[in-house]
This record gives sequence, C-alpha cells and structure tokens, in this order.
Amino acid sequence: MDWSVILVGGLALLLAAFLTGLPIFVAFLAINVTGVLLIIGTRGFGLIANSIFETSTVVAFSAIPLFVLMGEVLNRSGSVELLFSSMDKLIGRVRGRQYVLTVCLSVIFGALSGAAMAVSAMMSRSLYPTMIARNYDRRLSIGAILAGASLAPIIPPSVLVIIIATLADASVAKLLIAGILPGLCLALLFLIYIVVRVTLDRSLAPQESGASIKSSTYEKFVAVGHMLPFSIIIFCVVGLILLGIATPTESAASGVVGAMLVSVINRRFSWTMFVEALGSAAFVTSMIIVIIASSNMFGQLLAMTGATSKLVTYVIDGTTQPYVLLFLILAIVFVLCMFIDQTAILLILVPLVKPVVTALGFDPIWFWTLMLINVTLGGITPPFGYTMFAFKGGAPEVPLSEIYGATWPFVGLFVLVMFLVFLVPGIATFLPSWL
Amino acid sequence: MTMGCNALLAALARAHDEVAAFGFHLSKVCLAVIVFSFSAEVVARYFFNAPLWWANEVVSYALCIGAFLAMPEVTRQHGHIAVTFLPEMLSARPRAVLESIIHLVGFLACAAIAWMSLTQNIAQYVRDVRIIAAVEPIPQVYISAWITYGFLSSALYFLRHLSRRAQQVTAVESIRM
Repeated sequence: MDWSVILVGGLALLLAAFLTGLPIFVAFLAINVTGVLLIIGTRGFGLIANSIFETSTVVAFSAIPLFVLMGEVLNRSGSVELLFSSMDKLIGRVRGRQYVLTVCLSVIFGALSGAAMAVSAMMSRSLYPTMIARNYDRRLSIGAILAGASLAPIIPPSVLVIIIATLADASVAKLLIAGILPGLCLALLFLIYIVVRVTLDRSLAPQESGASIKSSTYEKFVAVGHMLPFSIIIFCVVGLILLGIATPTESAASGVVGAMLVSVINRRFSWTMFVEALGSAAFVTSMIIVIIASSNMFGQLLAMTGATSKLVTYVIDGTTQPYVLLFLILAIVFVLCMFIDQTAILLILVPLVKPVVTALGFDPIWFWTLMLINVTLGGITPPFGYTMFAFKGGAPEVPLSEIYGATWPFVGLFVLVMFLVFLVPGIATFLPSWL
Repeated sequence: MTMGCNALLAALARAHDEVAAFGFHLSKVCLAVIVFSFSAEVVARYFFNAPLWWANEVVSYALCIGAFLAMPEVTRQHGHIAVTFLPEMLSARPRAVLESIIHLVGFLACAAIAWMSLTQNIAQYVRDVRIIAAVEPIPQVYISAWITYGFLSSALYFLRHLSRRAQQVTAVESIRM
C-alpha cells in the first residue's frame, strides 16, 4: 500500500475515532491493534504491550504528576486566595484595575501552576464574580481570564512542555525556560490591549471607588510579605533549573515541597488536604499517562510502514521555502486544536514533525516553543477547548456562545506573539542559551 | 434464580469497586514516593554529595504502577479525556446508542490489551526477564503486571457502564410503551 494512503488513512481514522466521542486512549488502542493486525499480524501484539510498558516508565513524565500536585496543594490549602488578596492590595487606582489584576495574577499563577484548566477554573470562581458584581464588561472579563489562564502552560512549570520535549527528544529544561519571555510578552500585550480598549470605551470598566482599592503603605508591605513565600516555589522550579542544581523532574518535586512549605508558612497546611491533593493529582496523572502509553505505538506503526521517512523525504525534496512549511505545520495544528484535544494532537504530530524539523535545520527550542504557544492557544479556540470548558464549569450561567465570542481578540494576540517569536527567535532562545 | 444471579453480580460489582478504590489509594502512595525520592535525591546530592542510587529507578516504577493502579477509578468515574462536542449535539436516542457503542469499544480495546499484556507477563515470568537497571535488576513482571491489572479492571468497568446504559435505555423504552 502506498505510504501516503497509510498516512492519510491512519490519521483520518484516528481523527474520526476522536470525534465519535471515544476516550482518546481507546481510539489510539483500537487503531493500533487494528494496524498491528494488518501490518504484522498477531506476532505484533507483544510490541503493543512492550510499547505501553516502555512509555509508562519514562522518568521525564514523572514531572507531570508533580506539577499537577504542586498546583493542587496551593489551591486546596487556600494559599492561592492569599495571593489573590495580596495582589489586589498592590494594584492602585487604575481604570480597569480588575482586568489588570487578572493579567498580573495570571503571570504569578503561570509560575505556580502547570495547567491552564486549573487556573481557568480557579479564576472563574474567584475573579469573575467580582468583576461582574463591579459592572465590568462581561465579554472582556471572560477574555482576560481565559487568556491569562493560558499563560500557565507557557510560563514554567508546564505539563505540555514535558509532553512536547519528551516526545521531541528536546531538552526539557531548555524548553521550560524558553517559555518565560514569550509568556511575559503575552501578558504585556494583554495589558496594552486592555488599556487601549478601556481608554476607547469607558463603559467597559467603571471607575472603582471605596475601601477595596485604597491600601495604606503598611497594608502594601504586609501584602508583599504575604507574597514573598511564593518565591520559594518559583525558585524551586525555575531557579534550580537555571542554576543547574536540579533536573526538571527533580525541580518539580522540589516545587511540591516548596508548595507544602508555603502552605505551612501560611498556616494552611493539613495532611487531609495533602492526601486530597495527592488523589486529584493521581487521577489526572493516570488520565494523561494512559493516553501517552496507548498512543506511542501509533508513531511506531507509521515508522514501520515507512510512511514517516517517506513523508520527510517528500517534504524535504518538495520544499524550497522552509518557512512556508513551518507556517503550514503551525496552521494545521491551529485548525486541529479547534476540534481535538491538545495532548492527542501532540501525540500524533510530534513524532511526524520531529524528523522534518531536524531535516530543515530549525532550532528545536525555537520551533517547539512556537508549537507550545500554538497548542496552548488550542485551549481557547472554539468550539473545543478545555480552558474554556473549565471556565464554564466555574461559571455555569455564562452561555458557551459568549465564551466563544470573548476569546477571539486574545487569540489574535497569541498569533501576534507567535509571529514575534518567529521574527525574533531570541525571545524563545535567549534564556535557554544560558543553560 | 435470576434474583440470586443479580445478588451475586451486585456483590461482585461491590468487590470490584472496593478493589479499584484500594488501588486508587495505593496510587496516591506511589505519587508520594515520587515526591519523596526526587526531593531526597536533590538534598543527598547537593548537601551531602551522596547521590541516591535508587531514585530514578524507583520513580520510573512508581509512575507506571501508580498510573495503572488509578486507571480503573478514572474509568469508573467516566474520567478519561474524550472529544464530546459532537455526541452532545445528538438527540437522546442516537446518543444513547453511540454511548453504548463507545462503552463496547472501550471494553473490547481494554480487554484486548489486558490479554496481550497478560501473555507478556507470563512470558516474562517463565523466562525470568529482568529490567536492565543501573543498580539492581528486578523481574519485569513486578512492574508490568500492574498494566494488565489497569486494563483488565477498566475493561470490566466499560462492560458495567454498557450494561447500565442498556438497562436505562430499556427502562425508558418500557415507560414510553
């Protein structure tokens, strides 16, 4: 059978299986078992079992439960609320201060949490009701929260980075650090966009007054004091990697210990809370590891049939403009992310794209950072996006159509930052070059 | 006879739930082991200049065992990630049929993988296959057996979901009639 038929047929079948609502790991398994039967026969069944074993014992993936656990400990201990109230005291009298607060908190949450869903769910329950109660524009509030939550997978720690770097054989440490500057650029653009919108249309943000926005210098000092312990976690995750003291997985474990320490300092630690956090993290870990383990054979099957190598040859021979190809890859990911889960897309495309990226000579950190931003964006591009669904879970009264409408301007800002990173690769590669 | 059979099935289902819940508790222990191992490794290496020889291996085993110990509980709670926006657009009847098919495919896929994994477990045990580790090679079946457990127990949950869905559909049909 021609390689292109195998490739297109395999991908089409897999995407169709996803869209029927099959759990993603079941879709992968069904296609893999069928593929092995057709290509190798029953002798190949041992390969499937071995592939699951090999994938689920990759040490690098242990950072996934650790990053999830870190966020869970902070969230369940109530330490996050303390951060919220402290940051609220530090932001002065500015028009649209709740939007500004949202973006500033998002940057900090981004450095404390590895998943956009967690931040989105948290802010939809805490920040969003306050914004609506103070007559802030509903659509802009939703957009700011969703865009802010999407910084979490870009600014380290990041579950998506662990998956991308491990699948792409890229340096986990470098890819984690590479997200810092693009994440900050995004936050800055969000702020500029919000300020411009609020200046042009004053009805989007009422002028706030009252005790909530008047903080004395003493209160501001206390707020800074409350926020300082959180720097322990940021140091554990980012600092230990930058200083070369710990590997990303070790820094993730240190981050968990840091989160426990912060909740102890804030007098909010309890073993019951920790066991609950462990349960939640174990649940999410199982969801992710089972998908990754089930999917690995798909890439191996494509390689066995020669489809992957022939795709690379075909692409390299036919490409005179590597950047057109780059644009095409990113466009395909953008469109697929509108309909399919981000992890599933990474599991399908990274093994296919990796040899193409190597052959074209792109800087891997630069390319995978672009991919990271693109895939993260998939969480807020309608109609399918977990970041949006997590928001809806926390604010069920908001119609999904309104959430969809709120995200598009921020999607545009994400695309703009991708373009900036494309034009100025140093935004992604400068910090990793120190490692 | 039917009542006795139903009582037996209910008891088996309860036992299955209890085993899955116990496995989930153990998966939390595995996660705690990962946190402890890596934290201890960082401290031992940088404060005492004595890296822990076992940390990486213990973490890789704990990750695999923990993920598959928790898998049945995830299946029980319908927690697996799926793209559901198209099925949600369907009306009740075709959606019920589609969900039944999904549970059936889930059962078949998990049962098939459990069988393949069990075959490998037996071969590994008979041939005494050991994991090539930096320090202490251990029999591979000690770790891989948990993959079989995870898929087998999940297959049973998919079967139970299918049976429950079929009962609901039958009940709705009988009310309509």
